[in-house]
Amino acid sequence: MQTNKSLNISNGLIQIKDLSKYYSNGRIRAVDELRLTIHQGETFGLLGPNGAGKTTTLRLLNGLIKPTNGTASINGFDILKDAQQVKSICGLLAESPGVHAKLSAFEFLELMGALYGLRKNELKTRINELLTFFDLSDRKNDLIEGFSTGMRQKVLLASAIIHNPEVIFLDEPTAGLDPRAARTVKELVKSMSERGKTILISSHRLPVVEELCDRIGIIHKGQLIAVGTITDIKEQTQTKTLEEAFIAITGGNPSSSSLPWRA
Amino acid sequence: MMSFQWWIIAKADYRLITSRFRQLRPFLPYLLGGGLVFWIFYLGPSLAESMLSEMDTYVYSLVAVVLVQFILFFFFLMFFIFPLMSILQDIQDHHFENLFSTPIRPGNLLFGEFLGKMPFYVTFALIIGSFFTIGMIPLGIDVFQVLIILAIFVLTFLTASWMGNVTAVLVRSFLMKNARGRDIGKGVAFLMVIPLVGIMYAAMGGYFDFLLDPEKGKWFEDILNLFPSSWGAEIIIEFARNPGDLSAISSNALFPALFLVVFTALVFLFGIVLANRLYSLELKSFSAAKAKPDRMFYRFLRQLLGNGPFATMVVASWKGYVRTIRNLTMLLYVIALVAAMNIFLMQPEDSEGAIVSTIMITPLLTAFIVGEIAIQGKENLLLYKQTPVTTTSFVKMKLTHYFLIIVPLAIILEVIISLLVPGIKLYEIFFNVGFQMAMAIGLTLFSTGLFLRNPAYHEKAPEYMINMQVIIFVIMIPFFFGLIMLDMYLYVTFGIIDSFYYIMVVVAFSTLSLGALLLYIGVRHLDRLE
Repeated sequence: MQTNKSLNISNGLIQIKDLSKYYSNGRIRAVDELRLTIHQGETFGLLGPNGAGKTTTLRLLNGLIKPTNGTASINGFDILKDAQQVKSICGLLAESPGVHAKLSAFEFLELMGALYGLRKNELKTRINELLTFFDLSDRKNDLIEGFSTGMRQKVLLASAIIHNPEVIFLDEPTAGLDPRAARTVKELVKSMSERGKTILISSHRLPVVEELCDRIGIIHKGQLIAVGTITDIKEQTQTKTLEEAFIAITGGNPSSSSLPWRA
Repeated sequence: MMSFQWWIIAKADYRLITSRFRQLRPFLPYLLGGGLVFWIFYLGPSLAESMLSEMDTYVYSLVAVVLVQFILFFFFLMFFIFPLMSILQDIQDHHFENLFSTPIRPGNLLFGEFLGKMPFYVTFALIIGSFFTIGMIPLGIDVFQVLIILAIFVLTFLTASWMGNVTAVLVRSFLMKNARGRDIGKGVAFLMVIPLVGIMYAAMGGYFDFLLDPEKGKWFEDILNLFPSSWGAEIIIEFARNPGDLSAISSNALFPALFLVVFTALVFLFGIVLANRLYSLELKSFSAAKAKPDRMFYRFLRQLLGNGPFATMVVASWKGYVRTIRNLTMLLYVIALVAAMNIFLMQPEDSEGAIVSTIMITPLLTAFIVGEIAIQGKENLLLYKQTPVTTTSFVKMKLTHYFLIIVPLAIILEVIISLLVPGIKLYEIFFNVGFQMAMAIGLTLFSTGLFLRNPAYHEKAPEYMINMQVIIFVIMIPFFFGLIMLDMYLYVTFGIIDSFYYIMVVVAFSTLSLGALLLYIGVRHLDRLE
């Protein structure tokens, strides 16, 4: 990512210490002893194949689920001891969250903003600003059930940042968006980053990660197996593109001899 | 601000419930309130005036209290079960991911959701309570007494529905941890109504008549006294016995009623504390249910159907059906219904009675089974269109699947019920079974056609309920038409006195023809569906 912003490297805003989440009596290790520091103002990308543990990591950091071992702190708040404070300073765009389809976009944002403790007048101003930004102001009284996937995603993104959080977790932020809407989201992420917000993005879309992230981490089978800038990762793996680096690290290149019946 | 999280949720939940009539939302409280006041204090009592003398006799009888307790207990159970059913039928966690990413406390979420629905719970409680007060107003009870009686109903039923909500949420938080759990939730929700139906049938069949004898009903009264639904019953009767005199309440009636108030407050507090501890999005396990290799039954089914692609399609459809717990519990529900009807309500005394007691069951059975045809969504229904399979082959496959379940079950139920008839003859059993087979086939064709013409893509879709009602009631047209009109025609024209079996043959043919017609309409609609 080419920006002039300066990161506060001395301050690890998100500090993850041996964070683990196990299921089925430890047989399934969704997240396994994750150790990572994300600095204030940094945009960090979490990459990994399906089922690698990206979403579980975001859910753990936002206090939606509790770790089996280890912990993490966000701006000094421990995710176990200070879950409420953590949620107050974070915003989460989940991968496939449900929305209250029978509420209008305005009503839904009003609900989410109120839950973050925003006062009525301030909330109304912010909702109108967000709806205008996301090009939804003329649909603000329409029920969400009538929205396309992209429009829903915009509403959800608006709900994740409505309280102006210090830390933003974005799980596949451009999923289901058309190129124009995806561009809007990317511009939003960039501007939030420039304003000093700390952003953690989980995505499969390598171009998105390449464009937005200062550093990336590649997670595979619950373990963080590579961390660094995109240039670092490419150098470490001696590859030319992020895609090649990703496949080199996580494996899984399909054999050309498979599916012999195709011929 | 944070202490009012429950209020924010309540507001959102109220908006969700009333979103279908958004324009009416500002007037809704006034419309509901005004309507209730008009009904409770004017219209209801004027209609009930004619019942005054019977009411008077009843109020002074020794069994008045226990009968009120029993009625309240039935509704208490209903208010407990319905939120449970409603919540468990649609277990989803996505919706909570958003809410729990905010600093909301689970107890506030639960209480807020309940509060959002409370106006409707209160309305139902007031409607039920009003049936008591409108009978008592002509006796002379004053406004305060009416209000206290209604408050007892509201407290009792709010306690029940809150307990139902808390229980549902705890069960849901456990079940939503994996896909299997969600399926179990839907299945269990369906079975919950069985005790209510059982009690209703037993009451209709006279199994609670012992309550009319104070001596014999004593043990039952003692049991009922354990439930909060009984704690306000005595005060209701004392008001009716002393109209207009608030001071006439005995301590025997007052203390349980006061305890009801305290109990309600405690139950609400306890529910909030419990929700804070147990409400979470934690997954228990990632393990998915595994399919076993095909055993004897599926191998036999494939052989039976010719071992080709058609057999594979039928077997796949069958597997999808039996691995959905809700489908199996629906079958269990039908069987339980037949059992409850025959135990409590109407034991067949002759061969004709055996047919009558199953006449409503086959439509229910076919509606429940065939209702699954589009339930997994439109894309799923149209999946076959991506392949060279024709609509006719798809429908044939589905029909084969349904026949393989419905026809044997209908036969088994008919045989069992026919065998309950004392001294039934073999040919009568054969006739009954033949009739049931024809009805099962006709209704399967009819239901398949209907669900294809008017597909229901979700269990809660209005189309699902509408189709169910149509299937269940459609049988009544040829049946009652036959019993009333045809009976007379056969007697007048041919002098046939005992025409039941002739009529049943006509009913079966009518159902088969109606089924074939609707199937044609349904297939044509599916062919054009995009």
